[in-house]
Amino acid sequence: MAVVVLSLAGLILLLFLVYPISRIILNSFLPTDAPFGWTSLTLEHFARFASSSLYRKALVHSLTVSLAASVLALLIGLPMAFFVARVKMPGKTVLLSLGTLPLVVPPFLGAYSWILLLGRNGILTNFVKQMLGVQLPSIYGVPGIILAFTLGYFPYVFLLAYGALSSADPSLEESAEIMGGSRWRITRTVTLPLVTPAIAAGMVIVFMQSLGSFGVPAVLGGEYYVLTTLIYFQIVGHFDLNAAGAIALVSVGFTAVSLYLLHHLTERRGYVTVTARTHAARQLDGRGVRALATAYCVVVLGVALIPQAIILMTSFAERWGTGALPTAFSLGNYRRVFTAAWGPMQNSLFLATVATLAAAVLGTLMAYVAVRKAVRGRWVLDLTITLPFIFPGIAVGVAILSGFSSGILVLSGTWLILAVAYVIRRIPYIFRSAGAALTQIDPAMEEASATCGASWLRTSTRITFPLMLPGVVAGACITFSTLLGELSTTIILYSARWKTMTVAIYEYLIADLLGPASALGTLLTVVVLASMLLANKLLGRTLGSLFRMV
Amino acid sequence: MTAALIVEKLCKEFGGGAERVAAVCDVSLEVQAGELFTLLGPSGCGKTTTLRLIAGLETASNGRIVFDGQDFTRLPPFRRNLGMVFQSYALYPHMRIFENVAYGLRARRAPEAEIRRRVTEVLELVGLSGLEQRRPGQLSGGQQQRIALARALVYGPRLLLLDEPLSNLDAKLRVYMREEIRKIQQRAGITTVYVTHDQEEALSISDRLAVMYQGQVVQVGTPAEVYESPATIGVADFLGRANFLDARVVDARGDRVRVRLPSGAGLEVGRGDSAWQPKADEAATLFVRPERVRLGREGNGGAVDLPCTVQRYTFLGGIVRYALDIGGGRPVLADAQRLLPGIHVGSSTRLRVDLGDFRAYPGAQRPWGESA
Repeated sequence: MAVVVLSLAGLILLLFLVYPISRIILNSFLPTDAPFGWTSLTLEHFARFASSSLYRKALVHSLTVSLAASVLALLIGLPMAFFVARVKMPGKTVLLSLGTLPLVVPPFLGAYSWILLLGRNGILTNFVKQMLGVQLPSIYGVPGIILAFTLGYFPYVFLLAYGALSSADPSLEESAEIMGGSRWRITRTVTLPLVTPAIAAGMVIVFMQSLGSFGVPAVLGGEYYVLTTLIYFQIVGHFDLNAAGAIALVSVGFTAVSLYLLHHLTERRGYVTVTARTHAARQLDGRGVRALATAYCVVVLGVALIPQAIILMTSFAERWGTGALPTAFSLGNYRRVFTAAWGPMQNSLFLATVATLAAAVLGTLMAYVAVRKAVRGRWVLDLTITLPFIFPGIAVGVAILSGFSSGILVLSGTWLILAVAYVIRRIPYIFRSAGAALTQIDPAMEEASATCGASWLRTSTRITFPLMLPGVVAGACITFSTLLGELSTTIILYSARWKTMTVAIYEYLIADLLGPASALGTLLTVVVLASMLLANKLLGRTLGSLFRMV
Repeated sequence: MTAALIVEKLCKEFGGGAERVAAVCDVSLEVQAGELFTLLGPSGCGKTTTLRLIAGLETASNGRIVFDGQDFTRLPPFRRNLGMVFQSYALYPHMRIFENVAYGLRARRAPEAEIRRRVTEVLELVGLSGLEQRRPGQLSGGQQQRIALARALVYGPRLLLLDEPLSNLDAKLRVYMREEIRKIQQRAGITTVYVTHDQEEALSISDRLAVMYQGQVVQVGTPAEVYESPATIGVADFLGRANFLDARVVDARGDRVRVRLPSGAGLEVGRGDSAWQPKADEAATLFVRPERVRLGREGNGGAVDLPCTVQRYTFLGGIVRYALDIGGGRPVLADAQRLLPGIHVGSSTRLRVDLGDFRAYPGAQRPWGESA
């Protein structure tokens, strides 16, 4: 049985993961439109990073905004994590849930609301100009992208650091205190080093997400190219898959380097993973620190949730007068999108559902084999399946397009190419969460079943899979949510018949149709939130803890 | 009596190539029908591996397991018709108690009415009727333990395996539960193999036991045999408090051996290690349990009688343990039932041991904790 699953998994991964990735790697060394040949291998696409100022700038821009976003996410997220974990405050669960919200909503949606606020004719821009006579700097380009990335992704740092801070063994700090360390010394020498791996992991995730994001720079970039928009430009503008592949590879390289550095940091320092806590950490409850903490969290969340508020408001706006706010509200935008974008809505739900189910089944089976069966060479499975994790969404899109627009299996233009790409992109998440759920199941549970006289089949269907289910469902809910909001892969692979909600929103935004875009965005957010809350309910966990395993 | 379970030259190796480790090596055992047989030993001695081999949860590298004439060696666990209680109990959190207990019956496709009857009966047997609709998490440790036992017994297996079933309970409950397990086992009359590292538990619960060390069986016997006549110094030390005195062999006489203590006193004692062929002037070690060492001036015949000085004593509640200096070597421990009047730290007194309470071993043997 294990052998059957393993070979099936191997076949699927080989065909839909290894093959397209090999194709994209190979293609990026081929001249534009050239068929394969060992003699025609070339570095010309990579050389453009030296010769073309467009390429060079895109690379520099990508690195600049991604690095800036990770640093800013740290500066915003870490204090908030510390406050929520260590200061006595009311409504912490609410803070944690609201803190997750920016992750749930597709970031490019939020990006547009910053144009509404701070654009050339934005609400705040006009307000500041009228009141102070000052012209705010343009939101387009670097500042806007960094702003959107930081506010969209800082929850990764916040949630990971919060997790580490609230589960670190308090007796480590208490013993430092008894030995006479001052509060600042303890924070510097004990607390911070303990949570460094979590913070670093959070920053790396912010960096990777920013580097791989297509929607935000596409909406806010203007003439300002980053790697992802350059890839899109190569595909849509020139249909140059080989050049796009080369750019994608460069992007993957930076992701891989950042992951390697993270690994190196946590490995070299020999951090002990957090042990079971004996008692809760003491909470600061001085009046000053409580006021500071509460104010800080409210302001940060307030600013981070402005985009959601703006989208919600705009979706109901019927008329905008000359003032900052709409003058009339109605359901007109919703009526409009239900007729005009009914197809994309159905497509999104269908694709996300099918891909989630497929990823859940495959990911769970593979996790089962990898964790429970002592099969030789399972590290290959482990490594291969996590490969898409380091591939930005747009790179997966390019890889799948390279693999299946010609050659052995042609899928371009069908729903299958999107479904395949979705499954490949999200299988690592299911694999991880199912694997984590499985490692937490005492093997004695399955052994007890066997000694009770249950066959392998009965044991797996009555014991193992039911016990894994919460982990799988959590992974599936996150998968479903993120697939609904998926744009980077979709933008490369969609066709006229298989347009998704996110593509529809993107098109509305490009056409400056804010009302319908916001209505569709609000609907998307509602479905995504409902699915996350369902996971929450099923698991009895907070929204934030669902994201911590990402 | 006939042996129900026969284990022959069982070996289990883990890992491959250069990293290969033998967890169990050449283990042979015979367990009688209806007997409670214990595998006892320090952690890592191979007792749990042996039990898992009997259960079929591990596959033997070598050797044979036969139960009631049926060769178990290559049979998967679910075809062996046995019951097993795990250290962690392994109760299913997603099932109610009734379904937990009924699990083995459902696997055997028993009719619904029979399942109902049998579950009710077995819950009565373990004294937990009325908890059918609870979840495992709502039960105390002792109750969970009994449910695990009920689940293993409900389908009438012919062999019961218990893997450190009491190690997760607190000390008082442990004593109570081991008596309960013994009673239930007797009532069910089921052949049982019990694994523990707790010597007191093993001595109190077993009909017979095997002491294991480093993957091998060192001694098999009744609790009294193993406690009174340990086969090696290691067994002697593992099974309770022990005194070891250095001595020299004078000569051997049948299964007895004459030795001389450093003080010059000569005595003739039983040989603990039957394989040992003592030679004259060879180093030897004498073993005696502290509770067999008597303190005080008035003597009676037939015993070793030595002058000694009290180094210190420890009050342990039920007993008082005296450490006595006999003029060099390790202090001798003597357990008295109460504080002895007139005997203080520094007092000179005499200690006496009946000759029959000594056992002699080759001098090269060391307790397990002290070996390499």
